[in-house]
Amino acid sequence: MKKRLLSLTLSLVVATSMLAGCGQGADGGSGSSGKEEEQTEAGASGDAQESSASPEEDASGASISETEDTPGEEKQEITWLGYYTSNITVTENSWAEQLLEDTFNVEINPITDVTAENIEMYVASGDIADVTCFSYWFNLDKNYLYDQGMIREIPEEWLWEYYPTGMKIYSEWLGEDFFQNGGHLIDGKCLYTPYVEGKTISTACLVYRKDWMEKLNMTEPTTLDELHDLLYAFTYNDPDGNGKDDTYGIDVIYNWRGMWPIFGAFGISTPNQYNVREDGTVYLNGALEDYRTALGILKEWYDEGIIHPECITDDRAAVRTKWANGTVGTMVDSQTWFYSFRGASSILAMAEDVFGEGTVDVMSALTSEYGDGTIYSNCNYPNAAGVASLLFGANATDEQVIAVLKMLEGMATDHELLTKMLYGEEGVDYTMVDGQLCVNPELTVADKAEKGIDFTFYAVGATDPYMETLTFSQRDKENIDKSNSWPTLPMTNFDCPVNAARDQYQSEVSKVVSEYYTNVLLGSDNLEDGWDRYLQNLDNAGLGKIIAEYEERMK
Amino acid sequence: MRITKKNKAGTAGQGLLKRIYKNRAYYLLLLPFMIFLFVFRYKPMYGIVLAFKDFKIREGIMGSPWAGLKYFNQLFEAASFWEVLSNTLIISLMNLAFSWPVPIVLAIFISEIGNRRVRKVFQTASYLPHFISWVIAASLITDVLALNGPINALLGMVGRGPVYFLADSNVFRGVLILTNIWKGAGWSAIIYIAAITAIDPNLYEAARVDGAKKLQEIWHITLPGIRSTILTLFILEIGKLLSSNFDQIFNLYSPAVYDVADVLDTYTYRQGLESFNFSYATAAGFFQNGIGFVLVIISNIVVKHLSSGEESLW
Repeated sequence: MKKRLLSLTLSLVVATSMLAGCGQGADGGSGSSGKEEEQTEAGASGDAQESSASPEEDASGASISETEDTPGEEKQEITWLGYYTSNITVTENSWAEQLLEDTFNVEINPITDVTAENIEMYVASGDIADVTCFSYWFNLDKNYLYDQGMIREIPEEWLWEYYPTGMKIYSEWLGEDFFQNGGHLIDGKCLYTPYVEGKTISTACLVYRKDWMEKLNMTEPTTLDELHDLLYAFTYNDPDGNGKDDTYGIDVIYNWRGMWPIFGAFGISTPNQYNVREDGTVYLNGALEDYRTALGILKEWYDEGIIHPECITDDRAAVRTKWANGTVGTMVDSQTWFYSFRGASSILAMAEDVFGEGTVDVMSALTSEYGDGTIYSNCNYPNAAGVASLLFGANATDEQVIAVLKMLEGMATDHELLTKMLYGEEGVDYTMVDGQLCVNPELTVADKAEKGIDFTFYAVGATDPYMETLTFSQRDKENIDKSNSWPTLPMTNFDCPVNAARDQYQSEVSKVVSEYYTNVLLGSDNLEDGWDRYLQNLDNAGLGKIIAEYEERMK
Repeated sequence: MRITKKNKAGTAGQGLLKRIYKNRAYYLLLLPFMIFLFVFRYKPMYGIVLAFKDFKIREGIMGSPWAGLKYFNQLFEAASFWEVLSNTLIISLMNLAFSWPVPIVLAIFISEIGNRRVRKVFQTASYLPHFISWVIAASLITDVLALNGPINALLGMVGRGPVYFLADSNVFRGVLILTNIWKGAGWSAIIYIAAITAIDPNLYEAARVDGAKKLQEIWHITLPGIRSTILTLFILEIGKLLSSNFDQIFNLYSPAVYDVADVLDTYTYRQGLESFNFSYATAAGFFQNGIGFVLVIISNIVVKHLSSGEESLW
């Protein structure tokens, strides 16, 4: 009898836990369908954010903004897929979410369990949130979503009517015809809100150890050759003075801009980008003769030992680690990562926290003996296609779209509100010193994500000169000037979102390009005998078909 | 009384029901796992049809238009398909040759340790790596195999190296095999240890009385005693020849070793899932599993034939 009871109990436990697991998975994957449950949970845990004051009250207890409930307008419930980084999504009932809800006539139901790792499965299940923060790192393919009928159109007139300030800012930055030229248009339909982080500026920067340079009695390079000499000295002249041969000039990675000062000397951004010539012919950077020459220079530098030998397998985090622990003396990264408001995660702060204030600096533009003598940095395609924006699910109603556009307008016009959305609470998350916003240095990425600030609802408003004045320190401004002294070329100079051949063959093409790049550096392939074979492999992989379709579509 | 076919069937049916009722406690225990198998293993199989359709999310799998063999053609015509297929087979065969026997040896070794406490500690230590995810394990392996890491330091002491293990096509497959053994051998040994435990101890005692040495005991008693387990797992392993350890390879490989380590799983991930090409990914998965299924049947037939019908899955 005991055995039967035991087996019965065990069976029930196993079956119950399994069914509970199934149920949880189904709910977790739902978007709109989970609204009721999410609302219930939201109601039950409305005061869960004990560590943060309610956004309705600031330190003085005063209301920061009044709800803009228009009589007769129904409160809009909106499922929202946001993110902080590729693997952190919006926290339910965050401080910032409540701020948005209290300010605008909306109730946001965030999707909390979809990250870059499972976004494909989420989309394939047929679910899509009413609003999705589109990001290039989120692996969302807007063309695919459009092709699948997963996203809805945003009428242009609504953008001008409900989001006029943002549209005006973009017009000023990008020109009056920015909307017609924008990558947000597919087949002439606007499928996501125009977005651009700022003016067309360099997206890449070069930072270096100023203290090492001064110790070696050198000056900041002005040419590519002088940069080489600096890297050489950083590698072989014991710049940290520890008596060991343990430093390198630079570490570069293939996937993020690589060694752009070398490629930039030939007007090339990254090898996998396509560009169009004036005569309408399209080419892949990685198939250009100039790319071959640039790769040859990179190979020479690698063989000299001034580039960290593990650059073949290092990722961006590994490069930053080597920068922060004093293994390398220079680093290629993104301009947006040296801003002081990033606190301890800034690429300058991560080194200066270890080696002292003023030990690192941003390098100004160099010249070279190649091409027209200019070394080009690269920027995103200069239109409002952007790298982050909002798109609306096919089931989003007109009212929901309009409500969100009004939110965008609110962000663009109310600087106090935008400051809170991006930087949190004054005195807690940031302080104001001489009119300059200083982020609490102890604030971590996880803290920001939990609070819902910064990148979490990133696409909710266009930053403007006011925000730049508020957030950029004097040093930031000087560094931005240095970084922007590099002339820029767009990574790609055209926008053609639809290309079926690219969808089918690009993965193979990228494989051939990346294999050749690494094999040349490692010496297992070469630029003399291997180049023609490489071009043949590109063609076999489908490069010709991709280019043919681009050219056909742009006729 | 003459028993008609109908009566026979009725009796058999009643007999089965009676047996189920009699052993209802066991069947009840089995039930959740049957439900699990049905829900998570059989029900999703209808999704295989995706490989033959142009998947439209909003129309669902069944509502999407048929695409025939379009995605299989794309798969077989892909420039690096044959390289990827051969990498998959080579790595799987290397695993079969080197990784698969290690748990058997390890199980025998562990079961021969006399001190119970030492045996427990050793066994626990051997299967602990199984619980580390490949993401973490890859990070540890990267550090250990770094150019200035401990392995290269040891090589330096004997005047060798440094070796760029993770970017050297000549050694990368070896890294995959060794790290696979490190992470999985202890866990896989558990089933063999259980099988060894079931061997009658009197056999060993009798062998010792007859003067058998340790190796002879292992050869003549232990290995024959776990032969069924070995053959069963071998047949199942054959079915995985076209599947590789995606997590392991994905976290350790780089373009420098694509020529030896880009396998069907990683290729499908890049070509299929990253590009939202679900039909293509399904076609690749179907190809892998179809071949695996055929291999399992063939290996079962071969094993059955070689063992004169004594050993086989069915």
